Amino acid sequence: MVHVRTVLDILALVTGLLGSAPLFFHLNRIPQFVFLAALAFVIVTAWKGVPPLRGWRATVITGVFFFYYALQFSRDNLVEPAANLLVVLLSIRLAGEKIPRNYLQIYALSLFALAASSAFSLSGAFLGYLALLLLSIAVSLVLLTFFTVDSRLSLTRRGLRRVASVAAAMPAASAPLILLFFVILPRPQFPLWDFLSPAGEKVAGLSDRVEPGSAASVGEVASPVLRARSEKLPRKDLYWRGVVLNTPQGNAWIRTEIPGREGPPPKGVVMVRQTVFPETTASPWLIALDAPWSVSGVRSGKSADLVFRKRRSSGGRLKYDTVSAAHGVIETKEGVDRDFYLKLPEKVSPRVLSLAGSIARQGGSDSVRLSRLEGYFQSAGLRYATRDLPRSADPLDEFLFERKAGHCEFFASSFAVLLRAAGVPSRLVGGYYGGEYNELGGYYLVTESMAHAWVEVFLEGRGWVRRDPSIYAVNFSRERDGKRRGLVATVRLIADSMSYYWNQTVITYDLDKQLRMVRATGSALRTLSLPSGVRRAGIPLLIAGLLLAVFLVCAKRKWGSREQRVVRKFLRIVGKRYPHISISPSTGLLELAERTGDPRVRRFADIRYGALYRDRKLSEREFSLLEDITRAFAASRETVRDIERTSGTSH
Amino acid sequence: MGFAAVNTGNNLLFLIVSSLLGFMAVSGCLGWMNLRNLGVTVSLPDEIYDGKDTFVTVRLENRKRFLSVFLLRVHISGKDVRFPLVEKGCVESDAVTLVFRGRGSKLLEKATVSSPFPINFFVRRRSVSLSVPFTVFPSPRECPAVGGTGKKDARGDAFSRRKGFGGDVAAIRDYTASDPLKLIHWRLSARQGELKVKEITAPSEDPLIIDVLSLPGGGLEENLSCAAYLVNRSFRANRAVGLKVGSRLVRPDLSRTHRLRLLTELAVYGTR
Amino acid sequence: MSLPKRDEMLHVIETLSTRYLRGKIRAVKLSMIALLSGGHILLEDIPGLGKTTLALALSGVLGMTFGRLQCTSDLLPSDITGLSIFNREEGKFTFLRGPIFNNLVLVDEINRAMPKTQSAMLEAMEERRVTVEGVTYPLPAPFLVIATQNPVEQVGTYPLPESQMDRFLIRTGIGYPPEEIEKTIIKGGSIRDRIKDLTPLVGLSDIMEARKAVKEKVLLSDTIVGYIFAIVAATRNHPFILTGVSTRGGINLAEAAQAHAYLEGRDFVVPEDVKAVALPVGAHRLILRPENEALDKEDVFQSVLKNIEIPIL
Repeated sequence: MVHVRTVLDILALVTGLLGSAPLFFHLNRIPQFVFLAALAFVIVTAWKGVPPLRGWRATVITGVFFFYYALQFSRDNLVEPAANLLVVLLSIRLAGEKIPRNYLQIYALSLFALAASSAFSLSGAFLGYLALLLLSIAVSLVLLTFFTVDSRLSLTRRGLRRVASVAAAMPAASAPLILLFFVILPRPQFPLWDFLSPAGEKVAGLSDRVEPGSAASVGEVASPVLRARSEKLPRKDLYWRGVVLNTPQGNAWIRTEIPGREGPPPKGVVMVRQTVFPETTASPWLIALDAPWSVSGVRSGKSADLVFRKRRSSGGRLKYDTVSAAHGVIETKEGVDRDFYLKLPEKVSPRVLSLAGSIARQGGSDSVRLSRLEGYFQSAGLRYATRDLPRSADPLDEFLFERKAGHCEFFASSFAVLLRAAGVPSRLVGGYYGGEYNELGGYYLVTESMAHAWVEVFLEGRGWVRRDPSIYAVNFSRERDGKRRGLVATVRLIADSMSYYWNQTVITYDLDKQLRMVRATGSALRTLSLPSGVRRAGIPLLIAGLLLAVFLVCAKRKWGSREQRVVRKFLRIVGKRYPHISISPSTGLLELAERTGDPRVRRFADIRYGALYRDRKLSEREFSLLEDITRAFAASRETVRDIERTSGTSH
Repeated sequence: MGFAAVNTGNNLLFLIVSSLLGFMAVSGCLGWMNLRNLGVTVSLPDEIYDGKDTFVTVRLENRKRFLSVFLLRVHISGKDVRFPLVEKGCVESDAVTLVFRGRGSKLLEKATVSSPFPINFFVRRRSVSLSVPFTVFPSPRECPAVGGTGKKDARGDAFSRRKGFGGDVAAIRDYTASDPLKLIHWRLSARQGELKVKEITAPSEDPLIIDVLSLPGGGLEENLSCAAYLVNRSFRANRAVGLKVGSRLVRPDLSRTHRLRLLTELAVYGTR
Repeated sequence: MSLPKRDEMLHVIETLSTRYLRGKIRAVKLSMIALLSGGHILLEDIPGLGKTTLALALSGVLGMTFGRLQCTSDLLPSDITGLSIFNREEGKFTFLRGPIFNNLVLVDEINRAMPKTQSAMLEAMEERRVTVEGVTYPLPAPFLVIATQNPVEQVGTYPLPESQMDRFLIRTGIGYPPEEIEKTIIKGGSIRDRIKDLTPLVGLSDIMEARKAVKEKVLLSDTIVGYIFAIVAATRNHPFILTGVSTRGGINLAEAAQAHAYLEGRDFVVPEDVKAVALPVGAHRLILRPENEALDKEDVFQSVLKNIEIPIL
């Protein structure tokens, strides 16, 4: 015998763990400690048989924490104190004395904690936690019902298994419903209130400032930045445009919004269409394949230099469609503000100026000067490096003439400064370069380690031309093309695909997809009868098939086997033929034969009884005999009527 | 939580909300199925007395093919019987003490089955038709007026003790010419050398006929209670009893069915 | 399909019902069923309808030894079973066998015997042996008791206790013969004398063989067992009935149905067999509720049967 209370206590602990685990690492130290202490307390009290925390103590602790976190609440900081408070409350409930109401509170708090975790992380692990939590809560709730009816109830192991299996079947059985509800629950087009939206993952993302020399080394973080569903493109085109930095400030480059309108989209160039699923980030820029001409599916503002900025920080994940021209040139009909794009930092080292001067002195057009500078970079023997970076007061000078090693920011900013000093308008572009193509999902994965900066040069008559000075590093291709292979990579690939699909199907599901699904279903139904629509009608057909199967099973149960059917049909015919004889369920066939005096009924009864009451099935021959008799009987009835009719007319 | 989900458009909250909705729907369905395909039968004892505790056996049959029945409560005339678990295709029974008030023919029309399963938020209930007729006999009450055997007014007709052939051996005596051969006690005769015969009594004591309306005591109900007491006591004493109620006369007899018949007469007197 | 000795048994029924016991074919058939399934029969009807004649004719034509008990209020158990008498010459007890030591025993007016005597009789019927003074004597086989009883309203009778009715496989009335037949019977006068001259048509071994065939050759399918159980269970849950048919009653119903199927020439039982014997086999076992005692048990049983679906599907 197992006490229901024991099982409930264990399940309450499991539920609490499942609810707070995804939230745990996003909490402050105090709730983390309180939660762990509560766990230890529960286990120890259960072990030693000591009474749990009860009465006023629990109330006082709850009150203190509530007050503490209530002070932290504000319009901007809502989720975090709430999450912390949730876990504290949950801990106190777990440690406290439990009456049925308390158990329910534990389940609710766990569910809320899981819900709160979605404000911090949108990872696919959520689904796993949710499934386990539902299972645990389902079994708990059912057992709690038993507990409420009788708090001292014990069940046998077998009984407990019965209860638990039915309870566990509930979440499983509700899976299709969950899917249905998820699909059809009304989604608003825009969030009504913003303040509840999650703060977003604390990932650095693309900064709107490039400042080479500010750090001795840069980390290589492989966390994803975005996934873009796209066809496979040549690697040289994989520049993901983020933000344009057009103004030098000290050693850094920052962005100044410029007035003006973007030029018309290029003609005669193949446009690449992509759907981008970015990870949540604090940065406001929408990243798209260079050069993006339009971004749709999210409210955004477009600058003349093709930088897209999110209009508002809408909650959860985004998804947007982009159209890009990947040939590396942004055509511009109008000229540009040359003075603006030739502005130099306040302090440029003499060596840089003289190098620029030497390029400018030889004269020629902007494009000639550009190729001259490229020639210099090619022959300068610069190396790409992420450690031991120049950190002096003038890092560009140090990079170009002393260390000759640096990362893309050094390459790009020195290239741009040299160009401007040589009189060629140029600007920096921050974004990403490269991308792992996931053949499984058909998308590019861009990670934080692919962050990149390059330069756009304005050439009269052509427009802004993309130039990536980093390619002139002597070790460039080796550094940036290192690809991992083998089992680990495969696993990573699969895991990333799953994450992609999770984002694509669950996280970014919205009103738009809802509407599209309704339309698709509608058109699938419309095209049901057309041969061309067969593929799309697959699902309806499948459903229809299932319904038919269910119907057949029900029919078999209701109308019985073929033997039963033939007997019933026969009885019906006999009933019509001999209307004065009442046939009830308690009438036997032989009895019927005797009452009708009909030899055919007698024959039928003999065959049917001979099988039935010898405990065997009708043989095929016997069955066809029964059918023959029935048919002949039915036919004879017709004949009788016909004869009556003909004789009636002849009279 | 539903509000939060709609507002933020956060699909994970939507997922939780749809899980809860789905879960609720399934639990509702399960609760509904829990009360389907049940057979409730009640067996009442043959003797039910007005105002006395009566043991009633409630049988619950789970006719479902796949599911067990959980936490079922059968509610019959103000009392509950609980069945925590009845497995598929099984029958469980439990007894409950009921008290029926007022004599006469009655009908136990229906029982209500209810269950909070699977989740204790709602209690679903359904009534099950029983249609069990039963008769509540007057509560037997001792009447001081009837003690010994000689009181004519209480006993109605009385018959004297007599010889017969159905009872036990009452005495052994010498054989006389008028005795039938089969009464000879052969074993004893062989031992004593002369013929002895057995004397056998009539099968039972003198029958008693109770004239209900002329019993001493208060009103009709008291008389009926007293008569019920007398009927039961006489049967315990293995004495045939008859009954005279108003113009109805039931001949004395000695069987259980007869006793029930007498009690039924008392129960329904004046109620039809 | 050949059922051993069936023709002989049918011949017996034929002979009896056409030549000696005209208009009593139902009673004759039921008696044969009782004989074939090893039970006893209780004929319940007013005197003068040929109950005794039936028993006499049966015993004559079946070649069975015949014993007869005329029950009166002074009949003692020893009058049935027999008794030990002290024999002075030999100085020891001799057991004188009572009339029950016969193949066919006619117990006339069993309700006139005292309850104690009745129960001795019923016990011997059930046990098929008699114990007197510590010695057990087996009764002959086949052993068939035909008891007759007057309807209960007759004065000075001791009706069989309802719980003991179970011991009889079959209870039936005889009823008045159809008009034409009764007229011929009246014209022809009593046939008692003619019955005395009856010659046996079959022997005891034939009867035993037929019994064996009923038990072993006639299939009782699970479906039929289910049907019988449904009947038995329904009697137990009927609002009019205090005590329904017992398990023994169910067994008896099955046995009688087998015998009926045998006489019909079938080697398996069909529901009609059960229905044909249900009333005589089942009705007398019911104990009705006191408030429904006025009802006829056969009517009640018939209503039970009507509500039970025959498994023909």
